[in-house]
Amino acid sequence: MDIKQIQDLIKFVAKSGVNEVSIEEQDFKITIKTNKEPTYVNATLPAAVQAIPAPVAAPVAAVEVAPAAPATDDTSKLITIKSPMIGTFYRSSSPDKPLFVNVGDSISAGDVICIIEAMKLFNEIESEVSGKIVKVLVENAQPVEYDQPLFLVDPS
Amino acid sequence: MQSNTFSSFLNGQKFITLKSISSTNDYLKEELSKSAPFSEGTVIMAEEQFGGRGQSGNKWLSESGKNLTFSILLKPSFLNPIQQFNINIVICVAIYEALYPLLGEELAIKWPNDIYVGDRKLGGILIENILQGNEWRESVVGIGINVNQEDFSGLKNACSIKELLHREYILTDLLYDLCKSIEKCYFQLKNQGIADLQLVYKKALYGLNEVRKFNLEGVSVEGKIIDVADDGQLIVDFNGHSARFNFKEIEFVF
Repeated sequence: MDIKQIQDLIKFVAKSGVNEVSIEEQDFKITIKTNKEPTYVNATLPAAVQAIPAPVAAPVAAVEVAPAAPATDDTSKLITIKSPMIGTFYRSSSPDKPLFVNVGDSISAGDVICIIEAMKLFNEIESEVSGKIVKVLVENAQPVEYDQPLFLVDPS
Repeated sequence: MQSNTFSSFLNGQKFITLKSISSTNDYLKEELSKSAPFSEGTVIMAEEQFGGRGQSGNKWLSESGKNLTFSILLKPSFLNPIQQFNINIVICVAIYEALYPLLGEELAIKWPNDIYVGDRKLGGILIENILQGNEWRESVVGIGINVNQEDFSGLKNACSIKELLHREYILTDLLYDLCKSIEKCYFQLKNQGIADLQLVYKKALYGLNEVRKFNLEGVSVEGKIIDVADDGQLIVDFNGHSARFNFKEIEFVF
């Protein structure tokens, strides 16, 4: 990156309202800051020049170009099924009926996996994904919050 | 099995009457799970329902052919699942408004969804929803109304329309009135929102603003129902301190 590019970058930051631009390359790193909240741009040299105009489109919004995600571990492949509402979590339709799903079961999208009862309304929750149940995260008959994770599913 | 079309309400849907079935809700849900092409407004009616469920799995006893037991299918995908108490309000208000001309001032809605006349139960509602993720696909609304049954041995606080009015009612006439009313209230929710329906629900609430006994997990207390929250929680006042309750956290003592 030459001095001209750096000057242009400083002008861009000043005009755009972006709070901070960081450019990290193989052999150097530059961070241009105003005294507000940070924005990061990480890129190699040719990409950096191309990437910079992007924030102009939304000058007031903080633009974040995240670094490539670190190598994934095993659990990151899993999908979390969350509760769509506040209520009570049930694993079967009544105490004398079998559980909808057990750990290790293969499920298809559309299969009922639990019931959440709220104010005497009974909600059969169908899976949106196909895969294998890896973990059940809530005990039967326990209260659940909105968005609380209920199941881990391995979609592979 | 008999299949007709009731063209005048919830247009063009199916109306299925079954001689004897464990539960019309179960039948409808099972057919839906087999991808039956049932449209909104499909009605399943049973002459005899032998496995009907009341609250917490209580058996609901119905003499064959004497009472109205049916389920109606709604597809309220325009609502977020967290607004589902609105469907409860729609159904309660629809039944209340359909029966009010017959039964008058004594008719009431007991929170969250029983139909009472005075201190006795006339009917109940069981709503079962089918959700995929955050998408509310179907609502299977089961309704049971005691119509021509006169013998309620063992059930001290049950009553029927015949017992109250001393005449027989034709079940399908009543079904028609109820479905018309459900259609009206459901479209009112769709087009104008919940506000007016909520007012009717609260006005019709059994025990509103009356000091009465409740059972709170084994403890007997006196309190006064003052409101129902938007999410359906019952708001009860105890000597100036109000508290909110979910279903089963509070029990009416008769």
